[in-house]
Amino acid sequence: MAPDSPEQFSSTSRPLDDTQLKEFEKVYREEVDNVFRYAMGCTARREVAEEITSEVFLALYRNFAGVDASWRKAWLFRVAKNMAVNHWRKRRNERELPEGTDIPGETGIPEAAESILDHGDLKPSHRTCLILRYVHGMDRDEIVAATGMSLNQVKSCLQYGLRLLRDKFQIDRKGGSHAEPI
Amino acid sequence: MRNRFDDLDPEEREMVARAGLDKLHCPPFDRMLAAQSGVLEEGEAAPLRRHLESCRYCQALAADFLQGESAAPSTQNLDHVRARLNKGIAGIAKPAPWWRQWQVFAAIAGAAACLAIAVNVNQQSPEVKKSTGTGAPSVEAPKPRFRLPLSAPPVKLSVGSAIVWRGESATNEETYLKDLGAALAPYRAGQYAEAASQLAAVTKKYPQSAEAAFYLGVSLLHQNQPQPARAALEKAEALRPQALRDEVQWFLGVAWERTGNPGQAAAQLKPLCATPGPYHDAACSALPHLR
Repeated sequence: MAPDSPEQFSSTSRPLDDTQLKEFEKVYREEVDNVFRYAMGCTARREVAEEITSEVFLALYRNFAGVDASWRKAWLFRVAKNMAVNHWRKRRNERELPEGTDIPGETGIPEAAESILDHGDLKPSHRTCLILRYVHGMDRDEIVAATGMSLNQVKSCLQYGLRLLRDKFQIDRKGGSHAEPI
Repeated sequence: MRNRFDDLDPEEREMVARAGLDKLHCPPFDRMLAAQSGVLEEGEAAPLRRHLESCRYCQALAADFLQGESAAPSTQNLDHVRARLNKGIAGIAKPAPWWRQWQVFAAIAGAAACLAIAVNVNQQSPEVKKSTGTGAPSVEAPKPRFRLPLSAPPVKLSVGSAIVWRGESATNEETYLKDLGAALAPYRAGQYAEAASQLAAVTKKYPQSAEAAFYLGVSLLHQNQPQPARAALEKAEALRPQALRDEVQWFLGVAWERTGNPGQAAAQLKPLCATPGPYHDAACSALPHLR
């Protein structure tokens, strides 16, 4: 029977033997990317995802003998999820999050914006940068931190998105005047 | 609070306004992702999820973010993860610092010198350990931990194993023995991972099979998985297999010892030491080490 939580194991303060270490390294190589991605999906912060990923594998190291090989992967993600829950609880307790924020439900999206969003030339990275910048109001450095892209990549994506917008609205860059949209 | 459009240049402002993006008020996307991932409390998550369901911008962002490269670890991220992990592991492997060892030696020396107040010293000794136990895990004894020997008992099937399905047809008995025999083949060959996998399936299919539970437990012990091994062996013990009674008792003792419960291990081994049998000698010689 699989334990319900990693806390049910008694962790060890002993290093793994050679065989266990090889197996641990294999699991690490196979799953580190997935655990990091999962942590990013839960927190959207790279430094937090790094912390969660390293703590998850450290927990596995401590409990290696007690975690059945057949459900190791599920165990890793369960620990990652618990850590993400704790992360948000901590942020809430430390009042990093605003109390009672109004969250809009149904959002009316202007037609012009929709056509930009659905533009066939827009790659996911472009769209991510555009939305983070112009909908969520992040500056370039914040986008770099969130996406892991370089500053130049972020600038390039935003410029590309702006060019699409410019083409759509035919804005004259120098004068700031504009013609009617197509 | 910073206005999200404060740092836009005039051209950006113009286009954001024309596209109507300035009229959108989406919640922070990290909280939306968290709500979608199920790591927020329900009261907080529900309105965020409702927004996400209705906002194509946020849907697109979440999809692009999670499926694209944005959530993937960079080389730098992986380096940081590895460095933190290595540091944590080094903390586990690191021997106690000299000053902690010195404190323990001092406590022992104090205890020896002050026999008159031995009771007091004995009470303080654990506190010394406790108060210094914030960094490295604990002050560990230098001598290696005693371990019960782990063997691979030969396959024995009790008479009962052939009639696990009492009252069922002979065909079912044949099927059971065929399934069990197939699952025990890798066990006989020393392929314990494969054996554990197959025997787990047999125990699921035939929950009354003590043999399957027992050899599953032994296979898991060989796979260095004492917790699930103990569960399987306890199940085998509950089914009272006469032909495997001593074996179950011994290997359950091994499982208790390997899960850090020497007292429970000793309780398993005592009856084996008290009566003649294949594990008598091994149990008697192990008992003094299990305290």
